[in-house]
Amino acid sequence: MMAPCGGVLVVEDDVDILRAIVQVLEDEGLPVRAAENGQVALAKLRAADAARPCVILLDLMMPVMDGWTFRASQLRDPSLAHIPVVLLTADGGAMEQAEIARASGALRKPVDLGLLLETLRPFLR
Amino acid sequence: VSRRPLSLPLALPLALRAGTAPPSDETDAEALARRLRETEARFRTMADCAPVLLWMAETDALCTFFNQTWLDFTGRTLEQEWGVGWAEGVHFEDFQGCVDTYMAAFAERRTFEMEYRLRRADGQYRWVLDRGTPRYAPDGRFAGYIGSCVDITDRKDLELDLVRAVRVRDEFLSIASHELRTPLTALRLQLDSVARSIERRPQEHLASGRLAASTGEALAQVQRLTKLIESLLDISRFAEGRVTLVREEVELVALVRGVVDAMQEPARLAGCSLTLTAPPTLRGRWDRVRVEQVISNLVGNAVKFGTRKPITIEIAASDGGARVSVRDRGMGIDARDQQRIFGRFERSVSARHFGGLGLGLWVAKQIADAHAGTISVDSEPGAGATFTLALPGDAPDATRAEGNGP
Repeated sequence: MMAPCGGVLVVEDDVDILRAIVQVLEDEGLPVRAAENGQVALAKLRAADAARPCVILLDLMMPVMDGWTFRASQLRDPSLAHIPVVLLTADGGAMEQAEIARASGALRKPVDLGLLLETLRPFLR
Repeated sequence: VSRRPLSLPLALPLALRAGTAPPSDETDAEALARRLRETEARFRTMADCAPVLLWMAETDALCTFFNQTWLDFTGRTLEQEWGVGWAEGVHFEDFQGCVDTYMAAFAERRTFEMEYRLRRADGQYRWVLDRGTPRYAPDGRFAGYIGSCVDITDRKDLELDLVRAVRVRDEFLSIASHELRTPLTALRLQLDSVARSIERRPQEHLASGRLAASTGEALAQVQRLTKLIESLLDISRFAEGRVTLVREEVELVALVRGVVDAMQEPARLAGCSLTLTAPPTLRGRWDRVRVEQVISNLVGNAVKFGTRKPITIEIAASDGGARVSVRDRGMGIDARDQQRIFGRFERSVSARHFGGLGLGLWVAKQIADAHAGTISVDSEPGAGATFTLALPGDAPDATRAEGNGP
């Protein structure tokens, strides 16, 4: 049986954005974990005692391991593949990118807090 | 205008070129044949002197004539070029398109224009623009084609440079937009969060000091945006040579120490240590703000690409001036990238993985040039990079910063 999920994993390399997102989500009373690139995110997800996040908020352009590579690795890993992903991207064509990455949604930077919460909420129930 | 017979100096060369003077006892048939030969000879002279490559094809599309300019260009004989022999000189990548266009136009008796690479006598492929037109006999019968080629390689090269310049610019614009969006994202979230929080718990919020913290962070993002916009403005200022230095007495060691101190926290977060080696003081007449900008860029790059290894900054007096070296032990820079990175919008690594406008080193070079100084890099991939800024103590300003970008 799958353990129940909890909270959001935010994968974003920009420290300022990462801090701001963690802050606003915590203000909403959500459990949040942060990773500064895809590699760190994978390590956190695979850690033995890791609580499974309900949704992953994923930046695409990141050093060390970018969002595309992370997503590909995630989809190849049967224990992680089902966790929904919402893209957070600065590029135009966010929806097209979401489709290519098989993501459940996409938010374009700069993102509005209301929209961010509205997009994440369905996954958190 | 009255018709006058040709004066002797003009008539004579024409007669000479056309052959010997007509014998008085020739028959009509002989006269016709002679006139044909004369016309033919005149055509060949004209064709061979033309600065363009000329060819002619018969009704079966086989080529039977190439002018001397063509033969000189390809370095082949008429026998080699005859028929479809000329097509051997067409670049294999262009061959199919060339033959298809030619045959399709031929079948429909259309004029055609095509570009392809043709091998020159020296073995080099040159781009030519080939224009072909159907020709007709006096009675209206289709008689084949006549065509001309001009060498358009230089134009092609320019076009490629332009295409590259446009591509580099577009890429830059997309990076710039990404870079501007990043602090805006953080700023927007922080302000949204403040607004939401005030709405919910106005008293608690004001009392908790959270307001001060959030506005402080928001202001930091505004500063980050302002810096980005400043560097965008720097592009046009430097490109147009509109930067004038404000020289003053500068104590370089204190200036560099200030930059290093400000970078300690970002360096710590990136897992790099910063060490400064310097004489007690070192003075010169430089533009304080601009020199600080260069040092800050070099140290910033070292932190960004230093892969969690120590960074050393060294100041030394040299020839009445100063040298500042920033050495990291990170990924290093490929030899082929070492000059390019000083170009505008250039970067040695993908913007997908490392942010930044790709302007820092270009601006640094403009500033070094304006001071009549230099900036250089010494690097081995995998072993790190050392960037050195050399500033003469007091030199006349360079009149115009030289750009080496597109």
